[in-house]
Amino acid sequence: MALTVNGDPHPHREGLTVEDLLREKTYTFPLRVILVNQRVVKREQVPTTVLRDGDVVEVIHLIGGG
Amino acid sequence: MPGDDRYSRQVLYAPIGAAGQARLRAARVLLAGCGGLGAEAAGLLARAGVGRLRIVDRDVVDLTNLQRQALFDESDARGCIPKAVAAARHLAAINSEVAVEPVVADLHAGNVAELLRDVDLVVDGFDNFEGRYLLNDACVRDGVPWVYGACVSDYGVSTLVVPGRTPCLRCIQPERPAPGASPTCDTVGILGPAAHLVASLEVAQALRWLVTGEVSVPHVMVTAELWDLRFQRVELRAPEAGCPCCGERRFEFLERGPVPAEALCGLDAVLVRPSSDATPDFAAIAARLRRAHAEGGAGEVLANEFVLRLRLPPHELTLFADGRAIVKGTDDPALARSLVARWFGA
Repeated sequence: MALTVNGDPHPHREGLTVEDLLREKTYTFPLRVILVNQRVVKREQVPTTVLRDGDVVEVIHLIGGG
Repeated sequence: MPGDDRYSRQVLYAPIGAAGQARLRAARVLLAGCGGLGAEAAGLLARAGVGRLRIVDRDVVDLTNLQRQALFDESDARGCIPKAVAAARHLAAINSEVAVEPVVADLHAGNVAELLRDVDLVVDGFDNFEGRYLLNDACVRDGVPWVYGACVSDYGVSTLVVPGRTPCLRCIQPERPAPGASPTCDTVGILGPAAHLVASLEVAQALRWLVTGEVSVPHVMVTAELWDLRFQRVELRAPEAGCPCCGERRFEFLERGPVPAEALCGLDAVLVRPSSDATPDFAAIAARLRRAHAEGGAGEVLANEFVLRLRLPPHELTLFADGRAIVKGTDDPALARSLVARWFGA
Protein backbone atom coordinates (compact mmCIF):
# COMPACT_ATOMS: atom_id res chain seq x y z
CA MET A 1 0.00 0.00 0.00
CA ALA A 2 1.01 3.58 -0.41
CA LEU A 3 -0.02 7.17 -0.03
CA THR A 4 -1.44 9.18 -2.90
CA VAL A 5 0.37 12.51 -3.18
CA ASN A 6 -0.99 14.95 -5.77
CA GLY A 7 -2.50 12.01 -7.61
CA ASP A 8 0.68 9.92 -7.73
CA PRO A 9 1.61 6.94 -5.50
CA HIS A 10 4.21 7.56 -2.82
CA PRO A 11 5.65 4.87 -0.51
CA HIS A 12 4.30 4.78 3.03
CA ARG A 13 6.13 3.73 6.19
CA GLU A 14 5.09 3.56 9.82
CA GLY A 15 5.34 6.89 11.62
CA LEU A 16 5.76 9.01 8.48
CA THR A 17 4.69 12.59 9.25
CA VAL A 18 3.58 15.32 6.89
CA GLU A 19 6.85 17.09 7.58
CA ASP A 20 8.82 13.94 6.61
CA LEU A 21 6.85 13.71 3.39
CA LEU A 22 7.53 17.36 2.49
CA ARG A 23 11.24 16.71 3.04
CA GLU A 24 11.14 13.75 0.68
CA LYS A 25 9.41 15.74 -2.06
CA THR A 26 10.87 18.82 -3.67
CA TYR A 27 8.55 21.70 -4.38
CA THR A 28 9.14 24.87 -6.32
CA PHE A 29 7.52 27.47 -4.10
CA PRO A 30 7.91 28.00 -0.35
CA LEU A 31 4.25 28.55 0.64
CA ARG A 32 2.34 25.31 0.70
CA VAL A 33 -1.12 24.26 1.81
CA ILE A 34 -1.38 20.58 2.73
CA LEU A 35 -4.62 18.65 2.74
CA VAL A 36 -4.85 15.10 4.08
CA ASN A 37 -8.07 13.37 3.08
CA GLN A 38 -9.50 16.79 2.12
CA ARG A 39 -8.80 18.44 5.50
CA VAL A 40 -6.33 21.29 5.76
CA VAL A 41 -3.36 20.48 8.02
CA LYS A 42 -2.57 23.55 10.11
CA ARG A 43 1.01 24.70 9.92
CA GLU A 44 1.75 23.91 13.57
CA GLN A 45 0.42 20.37 13.06
CA VAL A 46 2.70 19.58 10.11
CA PRO A 47 5.51 18.04 12.25
CA THR A 48 3.15 15.89 14.34
CA THR A 49 0.56 14.75 11.82
CA VAL A 50 1.26 11.06 11.16
CA LEU A 51 0.19 9.73 7.78
CA ARG A 52 -1.60 6.39 7.52
CA ASP A 53 -1.43 3.91 4.72
CA GLY A 54 -3.88 4.89 2.00
CA ASP A 55 -4.07 8.57 2.96
CA VAL A 56 -4.67 10.97 0.13
CA VAL A 57 -2.36 13.99 0.36
CA GLU A 58 -2.67 17.11 -1.76
CA VAL A 59 -0.01 19.80 -1.72
CA ILE A 60 -1.04 23.15 -3.19
CA HIS A 61 1.21 26.14 -3.72
CA LEU A 62 -0.51 29.22 -2.39
CA ILE A 63 0.60 32.19 -4.44
CA GLY A 64 -0.12 35.88 -4.40
CA GLY A 65 0.78 36.93 -7.94
CA GLY A 66 -1.60 37.95 -10.66
CA MET B 1 -27.59 45.06 -32.94
CA PRO B 2 -30.07 42.52 -31.62
CA GLY B 3 -28.73 41.02 -28.39
CA ASP B 4 -30.04 37.59 -29.40
CA ASP B 5 -27.40 37.27 -32.12
CA ARG B 6 -24.55 38.43 -29.95
CA TYR B 7 -25.07 35.77 -27.27
CA SER B 8 -26.53 33.01 -29.45
CA ARG B 9 -23.56 30.63 -29.07
CA GLN B 10 -23.58 31.04 -25.31
CA VAL B 11 -27.36 30.67 -25.04
CA LEU B 12 -27.05 27.43 -27.02
CA TYR B 13 -24.92 26.08 -24.20
CA ALA B 14 -27.73 24.30 -22.32
CA PRO B 15 -26.67 25.06 -18.70
CA ILE B 16 -26.90 28.79 -19.52
CA GLY B 17 -29.78 29.04 -22.00
CA ALA B 18 -32.01 32.09 -22.34
CA ALA B 19 -32.83 32.19 -18.62
CA GLY B 20 -29.15 32.08 -17.66
CA GLN B 21 -28.35 34.83 -20.14
CA ALA B 22 -31.02 37.03 -18.53
CA ARG B 23 -29.42 36.39 -15.13
CA LEU B 24 -26.03 37.42 -16.47
CA ARG B 25 -27.49 40.61 -17.88
CA ALA B 26 -28.96 41.44 -14.47
CA ALA B 27 -25.72 40.73 -12.59
CA ARG B 28 -23.10 43.11 -11.22
CA VAL B 29 -19.51 41.93 -10.80
CA LEU B 30 -16.63 43.72 -9.10
CA LEU B 31 -13.19 43.20 -10.60
CA ALA B 32 -10.73 43.74 -7.77
CA GLY B 33 -7.58 44.63 -9.66
CA CYS B 34 -7.30 44.92 -13.43
CA GLY B 35 -3.94 43.49 -14.47
CA GLY B 36 -3.03 40.08 -15.86
CA LEU B 37 -6.06 38.40 -14.28
CA GLY B 38 -8.56 41.23 -13.94
CA ALA B 39 -8.20 42.66 -17.44
CA GLU B 40 -8.61 39.26 -19.06
CA ALA B 41 -11.53 38.37 -16.79
CA ALA B 42 -13.17 41.73 -17.54
CA GLY B 43 -12.99 41.04 -21.29
CA LEU B 44 -14.56 37.60 -20.88
CA LEU B 45 -17.31 38.88 -18.57
CA ALA B 46 -18.16 41.78 -20.89
CA ARG B 47 -18.28 39.52 -23.93
CA ALA B 48 -20.49 37.09 -21.97
CA GLY B 49 -22.97 39.91 -21.36
CA VAL B 50 -22.64 40.38 -17.60
CA GLY B 51 -24.67 43.57 -17.29
CA ARG B 52 -22.59 45.68 -14.94
CA LEU B 53 -18.88 45.61 -14.21
CA ARG B 54 -17.22 47.71 -11.52
CA ILE B 55 -13.46 47.78 -12.01
CA VAL B 56 -11.13 48.99 -9.28
CA ASP B 57 -7.39 49.28 -9.89
CA ARG B 58 -4.72 51.53 -8.43
CA ASP B 59 -2.13 51.60 -11.21
CA VAL B 60 -1.54 52.76 -14.78
CA VAL B 61 -0.83 50.64 -17.86
CA ASP B 62 2.86 49.93 -18.26
CA LEU B 63 4.77 48.56 -21.25
CA THR B 64 5.72 45.44 -19.23
CA ASN B 65 1.98 44.61 -18.91
CA LEU B 66 1.41 44.16 -22.64
CA GLN B 67 3.09 40.73 -22.84
CA ARG B 68 -0.03 39.25 -21.18
CA GLN B 69 -2.70 41.89 -20.56
CA ALA B 70 -4.56 41.58 -23.85
CA LEU B 71 -7.13 44.27 -23.08
CA PHE B 72 -4.48 47.02 -23.24
CA ASP B 73 -2.28 48.38 -26.01
CA GLU B 74 0.76 50.59 -26.53
CA SER B 75 -1.25 53.81 -26.62
CA ASP B 76 -2.48 53.07 -23.05
CA ALA B 77 1.09 52.61 -21.84
CA ARG B 78 2.39 55.68 -23.69
CA GLY B 79 -0.48 57.79 -22.40
CA CYS B 80 -0.04 56.69 -18.79
CA ILE B 81 -3.73 55.70 -18.66
CA PRO B 82 -5.02 54.16 -15.41
CA LYS B 83 -5.87 50.50 -15.95
CA ALA B 84 -9.49 50.89 -14.81
CA VAL B 85 -10.02 53.74 -17.29
CA ALA B 86 -8.24 51.98 -20.17
CA ALA B 87 -10.26 48.82 -19.47
CA ALA B 88 -13.54 50.75 -19.50
CA ARG B 89 -12.67 52.35 -22.87
CA HIS B 90 -11.77 49.04 -24.52
CA LEU B 91 -14.75 47.21 -22.99
CA ALA B 92 -17.12 49.88 -24.34
CA ALA B 93 -15.84 49.09 -27.83
CA ILE B 94 -16.18 45.33 -27.22
CA ASN B 95 -19.72 45.37 -25.80
CA SER B 96 -21.60 48.66 -25.50
CA GLU B 97 -24.48 46.87 -23.74
CA VAL B 98 -22.37 46.47 -20.59
CA ALA B 99 -22.25 49.28 -18.03
CA VAL B 100 -18.66 49.63 -16.86
CA GLU B 101 -17.80 51.69 -13.79
CA PRO B 102 -14.06 52.36 -13.54
CA VAL B 103 -12.68 53.25 -10.12
CA VAL B 104 -9.08 54.48 -10.01
CA ALA B 105 -8.26 53.71 -6.39
CA ASP B 106 -6.50 51.45 -3.95
CA LEU B 107 -9.00 49.02 -2.42
CA HIS B 108 -8.69 49.41 1.37
CA ALA B 109 -10.62 48.89 4.59
CA GLY B 110 -12.17 52.34 4.27
CA ASN B 111 -13.70 51.90 0.80
CA VAL B 112 -14.24 48.15 0.39
CA ALA B 113 -17.82 48.16 1.73
CA GLU B 114 -18.81 50.84 -0.80
CA LEU B 115 -17.08 48.96 -3.63
CA LEU B 116 -18.93 45.75 -2.68
CA ARG B 117 -22.32 47.47 -2.57
CA ASP B 118 -24.92 45.76 -4.83
CA VAL B 119 -22.28 43.37 -6.13
CA ASP B 120 -23.28 39.73 -6.80
CA LEU B 121 -19.74 38.41 -7.00
CA VAL B 122 -16.11 39.57 -6.95
CA VAL B 123 -13.41 38.34 -9.30
CA ASP B 124 -9.95 38.48 -7.77
CA GLY B 125 -7.51 40.30 -10.03
CA PHE B 126 -5.02 41.24 -7.32
CA ASP B 127 -1.27 40.68 -7.51
CA ASN B 128 -0.70 40.52 -3.73
CA PHE B 129 -1.90 38.82 -0.54
CA GLU B 130 -2.67 42.10 1.26
CA GLY B 131 -5.57 42.83 -1.07
CA ARG B 132 -6.85 39.25 -1.02
CA TYR B 133 -6.98 38.94 2.79
CA LEU B 134 -8.77 42.26 3.01
CA LEU B 135 -11.20 41.19 0.29
CA ASN B 136 -11.77 37.81 1.97
CA ASP B 137 -12.65 39.52 5.27
CA ALA B 138 -15.02 41.97 3.57
CA CYS B 139 -16.72 39.32 1.42
CA VAL B 140 -17.24 36.96 4.38
CA ARG B 141 -18.57 39.82 6.53
CA ASP B 142 -20.97 41.02 3.82
CA GLY B 143 -21.82 37.55 2.43
CA VAL B 144 -20.52 38.23 -1.07
CA PRO B 145 -19.04 35.30 -3.05
CA TRP B 146 -15.59 35.84 -4.56
CA VAL B 147 -13.36 33.86 -6.87
CA TYR B 148 -9.76 33.49 -5.76
CA GLY B 149 -7.29 33.27 -8.61
CA ALA B 150 -3.54 33.74 -8.62
CA CYS B 151 -0.67 33.02 -10.95
CA VAL B 152 3.08 33.27 -11.11
CA SER B 153 5.69 31.69 -13.39
CA ASP B 154 3.82 28.86 -15.23
CA TYR B 155 1.63 28.12 -12.19
CA GLY B 156 -1.96 29.05 -11.50
CA VAL B 157 -4.57 28.32 -8.85
CA SER B 158 -8.25 29.18 -8.41
CA THR B 159 -11.28 28.39 -6.27
CA LEU B 160 -14.70 29.91 -5.60
CA VAL B 161 -15.35 31.18 -2.07
CA VAL B 162 -19.02 31.29 -1.07
CA PRO B 163 -19.15 32.50 2.53
CA GLY B 164 -20.69 29.93 4.85
CA ARG B 165 -20.75 27.23 2.18
CA THR B 166 -17.17 26.74 1.01
CA PRO B 167 -13.82 27.22 2.76
CA CYS B 168 -12.66 30.84 2.73
CA LEU B 169 -9.07 31.96 2.13
CA ARG B 170 -8.30 31.84 5.87
CA CYS B 171 -9.69 28.29 6.19
CA ILE B 172 -6.98 27.32 3.73
CA GLN B 173 -4.20 29.62 5.01
CA PRO B 174 -5.13 31.25 8.35
CA GLU B 175 -2.17 33.64 8.50
CA ARG B 176 -1.55 36.17 5.76
CA PRO B 177 1.83 35.32 4.23
CA ALA B 178 4.45 37.96 4.98
CA PRO B 179 5.47 40.26 2.13
CA GLY B 180 8.24 38.51 0.23
CA ALA B 181 7.19 35.04 1.48
CA SER B 182 6.19 33.91 -1.97
CA PRO B 183 7.43 34.70 -5.47
CA THR B 184 5.67 37.34 -7.56
CA CYS B 185 5.34 38.00 -11.28
CA ASP B 186 7.97 40.71 -10.85
CA THR B 187 10.50 38.41 -9.22
CA VAL B 188 10.16 35.09 -11.12
CA GLY B 189 8.12 36.19 -14.12
CA ILE B 190 4.80 35.04 -15.54
CA LEU B 191 3.69 33.23 -18.68
CA GLY B 192 0.85 34.97 -20.52
CA PRO B 193 -1.02 31.66 -20.88
CA ALA B 194 -0.86 31.07 -17.11
CA ALA B 195 -2.56 34.42 -16.46
CA HIS B 196 -5.14 33.82 -19.18
CA LEU B 197 -5.85 30.29 -17.94
CA VAL B 198 -6.47 31.46 -14.37
CA ALA B 199 -8.66 34.33 -15.60
CA SER B 200 -10.66 31.79 -17.62
CA LEU B 201 -11.00 29.49 -14.59
CA GLU B 202 -12.21 32.44 -12.52
CA VAL B 203 -14.75 33.53 -15.13
CA ALA B 204 -16.03 29.97 -15.65
CA GLN B 205 -16.72 29.70 -11.92
CA ALA B 206 -18.20 33.21 -11.88
CA LEU B 207 -20.60 32.51 -14.78
CA ARG B 208 -21.68 29.21 -13.23
CA TRP B 209 -22.39 30.87 -9.89
CA LEU B 210 -24.25 33.81 -11.44
CA VAL B 211 -26.39 31.52 -13.58
CA THR B 212 -27.11 28.70 -11.11
CA GLY B 213 -26.29 29.95 -7.60
CA GLU B 214 -24.90 26.46 -7.01
CA VAL B 215 -21.51 25.36 -5.78
CA SER B 216 -19.94 22.49 -7.71
CA VAL B 217 -20.07 19.13 -5.87
CA PRO B 218 -17.49 18.22 -4.82
CA HIS B 219 -16.18 21.72 -4.28
CA VAL B 220 -12.68 21.99 -5.72
CA MET B 221 -9.58 24.09 -6.01
CA VAL B 222 -7.86 23.78 -9.36
CA THR B 223 -4.14 24.20 -9.93
CA ALA B 224 -2.09 24.07 -13.11
CA GLU B 225 1.60 23.85 -13.98
CA LEU B 226 1.45 24.90 -17.60
CA TRP B 227 5.00 24.23 -18.77
CA ASP B 228 4.65 20.53 -17.93
CA LEU B 229 0.89 20.48 -18.52
CA ARG B 230 0.13 19.17 -15.02
CA PHE B 231 -3.34 19.87 -13.67
CA GLN B 232 -4.59 19.17 -10.17
CA ARG B 233 -8.15 19.13 -8.88
CA VAL B 234 -8.18 19.26 -5.10
CA GLU B 235 -11.44 18.55 -3.30
CA LEU B 236 -12.21 20.92 -0.43
CA ARG B 237 -14.75 20.06 2.24
CA ALA B 238 -16.80 22.40 4.40
CA PRO B 239 -15.43 25.63 5.95
CA GLU B 240 -13.05 25.02 8.87
CA ALA B 241 -14.90 25.33 12.20
CA GLY B 242 -11.98 27.16 13.82
CA CYS B 243 -11.40 29.61 10.95
CA PRO B 244 -10.73 33.05 12.45
CA CYS B 245 -12.65 34.70 9.61
CA CYS B 246 -15.68 32.65 8.51
CA GLY B 247 -15.80 30.53 11.70
CA GLU B 248 -15.21 33.08 14.47
CA ARG B 249 -16.11 36.11 12.34
CA ARG B 250 -13.08 38.13 13.33
CA PHE B 251 -12.24 40.53 10.50
CA GLU B 252 -8.85 41.74 11.55
CA PHE B 253 -7.76 42.93 8.10
CA LEU B 254 -10.71 45.32 8.02
CA GLU B 255 -9.70 46.76 11.38
CA ARG B 256 -6.19 47.72 10.35
CA GLY B 257 -5.97 51.26 9.06
CA PRO B 258 -4.00 51.82 5.88
CA VAL B 259 -0.32 52.56 6.49
CA PRO B 260 1.00 55.91 5.14
CA ALA B 261 3.40 54.16 2.77
CA GLU B 262 3.96 50.52 1.87
CA ALA B 263 6.44 48.75 -0.37
CA LEU B 264 4.68 46.97 -3.24
CA CYS B 265 6.33 43.63 -2.92
CA GLY B 266 8.51 42.58 -5.82
CA LEU B 267 7.63 45.69 -7.82
CA ASP B 268 10.53 47.88 -6.65
CA ALA B 269 7.88 50.48 -5.90
CA VAL B 270 6.19 52.12 -2.93
CA LEU B 271 2.57 53.21 -2.59
CA VAL B 272 2.31 56.50 -0.68
CA ARG B 273 -1.18 57.23 0.63
CA PRO B 274 -2.46 60.81 0.90
CA SER B 275 -2.25 62.53 4.27
CA SER B 276 -5.46 64.47 3.65
CA ASP B 277 -8.67 64.19 1.61
CA ALA B 278 -7.74 67.24 -0.47
CA THR B 279 -7.67 66.65 -4.23
CA PRO B 280 -4.30 67.54 -5.72
CA ASP B 281 -4.31 70.46 -8.17
CA PHE B 282 -2.64 68.74 -11.14
CA ALA B 283 -2.46 71.92 -13.23
CA ALA B 284 -0.73 73.93 -10.51
CA ILE B 285 1.70 71.14 -9.59
CA ALA B 286 2.49 70.41 -13.26
CA ALA B 287 3.12 74.10 -13.96
CA ARG B 288 5.43 74.36 -10.97
CA LEU B 289 7.34 71.19 -11.91
CA ARG B 290 7.64 72.27 -15.56
CA ARG B 291 9.14 75.59 -14.46
CA ALA B 292 11.57 73.69 -12.25
CA HIS B 293 12.35 71.32 -15.15
CA ALA B 294 13.07 74.27 -17.47
CA GLU B 295 15.48 75.60 -14.87
CA GLY B 296 17.13 72.20 -14.58
CA GLY B 297 15.82 71.54 -11.06
CA ALA B 298 13.30 68.77 -11.77
CA GLY B 299 12.73 65.87 -14.14
CA GLU B 300 10.47 65.46 -17.14
CA VAL B 301 6.74 65.87 -16.42
CA LEU B 302 3.81 64.06 -18.04
CA ALA B 303 0.26 64.96 -17.05
CA ASN B 304 -3.18 63.87 -18.22
CA GLU B 305 -6.60 64.11 -16.61
CA PHE B 306 -5.88 61.08 -14.40
CA VAL B 307 -2.24 61.18 -13.36
CA LEU B 308 0.82 63.36 -13.13
CA ARG B 309 4.13 61.63 -13.68
CA LEU B 310 7.57 62.98 -12.85
CA ARG B 311 10.69 61.18 -14.06
CA LEU B 312 13.64 61.57 -11.72
CA PRO B 313 15.99 58.71 -12.61
CA PRO B 314 16.35 56.27 -10.95
CA HIS B 315 12.91 57.18 -9.56
CA GLU B 316 9.57 57.74 -11.21
CA LEU B 317 6.75 59.38 -9.26
CA THR B 318 3.13 58.99 -10.34
CA LEU B 319 0.49 61.10 -8.57
CA PHE B 320 -3.17 60.07 -8.87
CA ALA B 321 -6.27 62.25 -8.66
CA ASP B 322 -7.20 60.73 -5.27
CA GLY B 323 -3.90 61.99 -3.83
CA ARG B 324 -2.09 58.65 -3.80
CA ALA B 325 1.33 58.35 -5.34
CA ILE B 326 3.33 55.38 -6.58
CA VAL B 327 7.09 55.80 -6.47
CA LYS B 328 9.03 53.38 -8.67
CA GLY B 329 12.72 52.66 -8.30
CA THR B 330 12.76 52.13 -4.53
CA ASP B 331 11.31 49.81 -1.90
CA ASP B 332 12.07 52.24 0.93
CA PRO B 333 8.81 53.78 2.24
CA ALA B 334 10.63 56.61 4.02
CA LEU B 335 12.50 57.68 0.89
CA ALA B 336 9.31 57.44 -1.17
CA ARG B 337 7.38 59.63 1.28
CA SER B 338 10.11 62.23 1.29
CA LEU B 339 10.22 62.31 -2.53
CA VAL B 340 6.44 62.72 -2.71
CA ALA B 341 6.46 65.47 -0.07
CA ARG B 342 9.31 67.25 -1.83
CA TRP B 343 7.95 67.18 -5.38
CA PHE B 344 4.17 67.00 -4.99
CA GLY B 345 3.75 68.69 -1.61
CA ALA B 346 2.29 72.14 -1.32
